Amino acid sequence: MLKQRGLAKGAVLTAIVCVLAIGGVIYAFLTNSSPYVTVAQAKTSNSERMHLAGDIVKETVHQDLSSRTLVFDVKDNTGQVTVVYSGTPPQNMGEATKVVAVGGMKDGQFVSDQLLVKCPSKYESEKKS
Amino acid sequence: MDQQTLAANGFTAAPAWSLLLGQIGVWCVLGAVVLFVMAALASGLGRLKLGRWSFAIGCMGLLGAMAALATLFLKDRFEYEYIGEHSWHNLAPWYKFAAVWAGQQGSFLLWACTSAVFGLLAIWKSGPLQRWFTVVYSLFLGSLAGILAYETPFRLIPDGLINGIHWVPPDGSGLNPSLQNYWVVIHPPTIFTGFGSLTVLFAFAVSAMIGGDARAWAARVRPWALVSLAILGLGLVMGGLWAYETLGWGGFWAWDPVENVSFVPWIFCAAFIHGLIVQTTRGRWHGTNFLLGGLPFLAFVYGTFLTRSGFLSKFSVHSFAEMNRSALMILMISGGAFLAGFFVLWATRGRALAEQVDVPIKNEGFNREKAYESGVILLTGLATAIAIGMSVPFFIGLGGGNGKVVEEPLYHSVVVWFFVPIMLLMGAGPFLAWRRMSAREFWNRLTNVLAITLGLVGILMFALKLSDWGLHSHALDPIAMPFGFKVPRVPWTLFLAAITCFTAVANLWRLVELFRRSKTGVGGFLAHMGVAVALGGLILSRGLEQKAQVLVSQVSPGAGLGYAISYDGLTSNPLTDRENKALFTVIDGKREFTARPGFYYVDGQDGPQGFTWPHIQHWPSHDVYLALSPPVTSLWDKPVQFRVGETKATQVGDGTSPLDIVAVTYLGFTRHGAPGKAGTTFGAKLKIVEGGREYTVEPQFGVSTGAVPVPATPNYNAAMMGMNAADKSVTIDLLLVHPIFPIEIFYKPMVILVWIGTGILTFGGLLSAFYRRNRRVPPEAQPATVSHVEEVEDALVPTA
Repeated sequence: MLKQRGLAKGAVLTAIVCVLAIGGVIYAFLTNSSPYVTVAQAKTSNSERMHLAGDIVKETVHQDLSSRTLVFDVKDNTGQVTVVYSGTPPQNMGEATKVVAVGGMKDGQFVSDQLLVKCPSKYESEKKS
Repeated sequence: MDQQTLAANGFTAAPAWSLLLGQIGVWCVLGAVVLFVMAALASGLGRLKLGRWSFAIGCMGLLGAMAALATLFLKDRFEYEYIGEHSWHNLAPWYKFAAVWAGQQGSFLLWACTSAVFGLLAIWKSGPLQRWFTVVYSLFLGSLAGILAYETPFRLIPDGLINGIHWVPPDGSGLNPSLQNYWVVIHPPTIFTGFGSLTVLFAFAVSAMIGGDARAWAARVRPWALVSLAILGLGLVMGGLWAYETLGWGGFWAWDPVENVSFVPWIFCAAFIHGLIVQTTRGRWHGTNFLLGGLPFLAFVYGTFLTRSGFLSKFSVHSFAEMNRSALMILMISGGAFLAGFFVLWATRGRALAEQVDVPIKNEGFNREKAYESGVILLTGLATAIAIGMSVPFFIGLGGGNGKVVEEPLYHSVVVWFFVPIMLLMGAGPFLAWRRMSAREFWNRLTNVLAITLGLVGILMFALKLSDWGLHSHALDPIAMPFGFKVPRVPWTLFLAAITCFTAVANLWRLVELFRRSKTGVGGFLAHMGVAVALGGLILSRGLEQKAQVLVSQVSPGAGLGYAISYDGLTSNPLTDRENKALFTVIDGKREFTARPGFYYVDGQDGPQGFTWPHIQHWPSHDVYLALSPPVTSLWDKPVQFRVGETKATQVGDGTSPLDIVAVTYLGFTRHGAPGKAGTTFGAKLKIVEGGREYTVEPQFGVSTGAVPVPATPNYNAAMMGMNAADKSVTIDLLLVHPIFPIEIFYKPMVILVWIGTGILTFGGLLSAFYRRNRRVPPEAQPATVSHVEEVEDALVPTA
């Protein structure tokens, strides 16, 4: 009888610890993950690390070698914003139509240090429906 | 289009054999569905022989479909949509073969085939568990074949059938250049072989629970679990090396959903193997092991659903195709049924079975069993945490949210809570005995190891002080930890490295200590040591990594991280040659080497697109990693249009001096020859100001010759790209005489440890499997009685 109660106590304790641990992990992931935003949301947010996804406006792409920045506009159905990316352009930037820029707003521009390029090139042809 | 137009455009009629082979492939898959259903029914009803043979023929059907698809790929049958999308005629044969699994449909087929091969191997060794083993395995392969029936790689191109003839496009669109690498030939088959082997563990666990065998199945499943762990581990390592050697971002692991989907099952598999050790030596944990046996497979099925269903496509750099609706339904329904059925079975039957055979705890206090228990809990927790991380975007998306993404630093800050105690256990565990040990006794055993560890870390710090490792700029860069506190980078990296160092030393010490008495534990110690060394390499190379961006051209060498980089030209012409290398001389004061990053162009939708491979210079103490970007070739991003008399000025350099301006004025239009005649050329008179000096040039545009660039200024050639005869406006490009290469240079210390650790790990794994093979229990024999094992002081050292 005593033995059984000891076991039950152990099981309850383990369960509590597990629930706490899983809760902690979920909490950490949820609170610290960086959000995906639309252009309109990005413009009003003061977060320093957002994922801005949108279409590249081809005519605006401009590479400035002296300051090593790549400047282009990204637009979606909520608006258009200028992205200033510092660093080496991603390899398939030339073919990309959609981009995810990671960064935050600064003086009306989206300043980014990381670009994820989605490349619906001829190699990954989009399904025609 | 009518037939003449089609034929004129290079379309041909599909030969009968090709259409027939595709049909055979389709029927192989459909036949497999029927045969697996039959195998499940027959075995369930006790007709074992019929079940076994339908199962075997069904597996052959899947392999037959694979053979048909591979043949069609090798023969360039572009009338098949999947082949047209992933191959073209000029691809090397081994890449044509590898292109079989370049897309969604092919990778499902590969998974089905590796699963089938393991099923064929394991079913003859399943002994008394065969009945339900066959049922479970057939249900799974039947579902996969069902998915393949909808998500089929054998679909002919839509609208290809005109007047009873299947028209074949002249060529396919080719394989993504970043996949054209030897890794794509060996990595996917390896990792999918690992995934396929997980089905065996799951089927054994389920059939043992249904068959009421809580004990004997452990001996049966153990070699398969070791094989799973080894192959999956090898596949994971290959994936990391592939990323490092080809992708050009300088790292091995990015916590991308696709990577996590293969990592989570591996951790569960490791937990399972440790659970089995406790079961076979202590007669305990029977219930836990049922659960752990099923989890690797279930985790992979769940991960496949996450990554292949298209739900994650917004949140990952990997492009995922949307899956066929019906196929997705099959995946969700069968996956859900497997998941729910397994847990219900475990809760209602598995635990009850286990209670009958579990031996009560004999030794209280902290002993080796407690260490195994903590280890298994931590590993399960780690796998669960990563699984939660990769599910976060999905669940937020389900809830209607905009989606969030879990990034590398966040994974690190969560994973470290599991990493540190797991590594400490891996080091201290081998010093614990099954019986209870006093703290003092345990401490005495560990003193030597701790002393050696401290010594090594001291040497490491001394080396840090001497060389320029990590001490330039980011030494005290804070790293964010959960709950808002931050730690400086270099001390934190050293702390983590010290822990891996302790684990490696402890296992080496124990290995040497026990080597004379028994060799069976050697594999395990080596494997643990390999893991520790490889992780140490990953931690040091990432934590103390430095990078800089450098611009280099023929006339202006660049410098970064103390390296001077100058450009020496290209190895081949034309630039579409995949073997072309750009040559750079890199000097760091003492040493000099030639970097040969790959660089070539392929034709893309918007003109030629540059592709590059990084160059990695290996030294014993560090790697220098050069990631090249395609060069900048002109002043502007694209040719610029000028009206007559117009001037356009562009800033170059930092713009502090008026000399940092390049100004172009279009003076007027010229024509040489009569309009409409062959050989007529047009010209644009330009005035270009560069560096304060004025140059006048007249680039030409010929009807037959096109644009002919002419030298204009010291740094630029001028080219007339096009014109508008109506208003006499022209399109001008200023091409750099010496193209500028942007280079990202990484300094990564101690990468060599990753290779050494991987080598030790592989060797240890092979050794383990070898000893297990020798000691394998005959199928009919029960495992050693528990009372006998009680006498053994140290299970890794069986009494002679």
